[in-house]
Amino acid sequence: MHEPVKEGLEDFLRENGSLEFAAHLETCRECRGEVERMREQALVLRVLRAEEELDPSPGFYARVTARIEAQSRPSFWNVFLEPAFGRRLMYASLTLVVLLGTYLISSESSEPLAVATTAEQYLVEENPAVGANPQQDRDAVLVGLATYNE
Amino acid sequence: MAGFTATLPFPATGEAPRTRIRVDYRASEEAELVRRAQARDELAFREIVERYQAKVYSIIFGILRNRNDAEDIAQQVFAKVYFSMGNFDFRSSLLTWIYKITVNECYDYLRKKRVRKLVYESDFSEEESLLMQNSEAAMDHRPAVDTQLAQRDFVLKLLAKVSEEDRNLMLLKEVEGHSVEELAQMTGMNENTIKVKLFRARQKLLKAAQRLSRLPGAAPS
Repeated sequence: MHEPVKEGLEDFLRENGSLEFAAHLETCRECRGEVERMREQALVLRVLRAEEELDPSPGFYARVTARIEAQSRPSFWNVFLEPAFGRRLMYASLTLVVLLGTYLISSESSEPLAVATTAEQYLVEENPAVGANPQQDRDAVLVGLATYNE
Repeated sequence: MAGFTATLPFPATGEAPRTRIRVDYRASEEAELVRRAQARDELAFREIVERYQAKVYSIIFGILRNRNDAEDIAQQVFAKVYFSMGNFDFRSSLLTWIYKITVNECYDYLRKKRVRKLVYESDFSEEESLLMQNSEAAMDHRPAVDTQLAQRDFVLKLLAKVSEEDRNLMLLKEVEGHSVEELAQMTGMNENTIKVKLFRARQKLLKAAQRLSRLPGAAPS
C-alpha cells in the first residue's frame, strides 16, 4: 500500500477521508482493494460492541471485596511454597535419603560374612583337632562340608 | 505519480512532522484517586470500582455475550486491579490500563474454556436462547442469531492471532470507537505511532482472516 494511503487510512475509515485520498483510490486498484478489505474488517470487529452500557447486578462491589479477601487469604498449601520451609523440607528429605541409603548398604554387606563365619565356625566346632593330621583334616573338612546345613 | 504527490497536503518524501501528545497522567484529576487506592484507601478503590464497573461489564458482555460469565470476569478484573494497583505507573490513563486487564482476562477465560468451535455448540446465554425461541428474530433486520454467533466466534479467533498490544488498539479503535487523537492521549503514544500500529495490526488481521478462511467451516459467510 502506498505511503500516503497509510497516512490517510484512519480518517477514511471514519468516513472523514480527504479528496486526495479518494482520488488515489480511484486510480490505484491495489490500494483500493486493500482499503476495502480493511473497511469490511473494521465493520466485522464491531460485532463485539455491546449495544448499550450495562450494569452488573446489585451488590457488585461487595462481591469484588469478597473475592479479594478470598484471594488474599493464604491457603494451607502455601506453607510448602515458603522458601524457609521449603529449604528445611529439602534438607530433611536429603538427610533421610542418606540415612536410608547407608542402612541399606551396610545391611547388604554384612550378610555374606555371617554365612562364611557360620560355616567356618561350624567346621571349627565340629573339628576341634584340625591341624594334627593333614589327611585326616582333609577328610574331616569334606565330611563337615557335606553334612553342613544352614 | 509525481502529479499525485504534488496534490497531497503532506510531504511524500522524508519523515512526516511528528505530533507529540504527552499527557501527564500524574497531574490528572484521577491521579489523586489512584494514589489513595495504591495506599490501600478502601474508599478510593470503591470509587474506582463504581466509576468503571459498568464500562468493564459492558466490554466483557460485548465479547462473551453471557451475563453470568461477564459478572464473574468483571469481579476478577477488579480483583486484579486491586492487587496490581501498585504497578500502575501513570504512563496511560487508568481506563486504558483497566481496559487492557479486562481484555486479557476475557482471552484468558476463552483459552481456559477452549472455545475453538462455534459458540452455538456450547451453552447459550439467556438472551441468545430467547432470541432463538422467539420467531420475531426471523422478521428482524438483524442477521440471524447463528450468523451473529459465528461472526463473533470468527472475530475472537482473529484477534487471538495478533499481539496483546495490537488487539487492545484495534478494540479501542473499532469497538470502543475512539479516534486516533484520543488513543494517543490514552496510551501516551504519538499519533503517527498509533497510525502505524493500527495499519500493521489491520494487515496482520487481514492475513489471519485469509488463513482462517481456508480452514473448513471457520469463516462465517
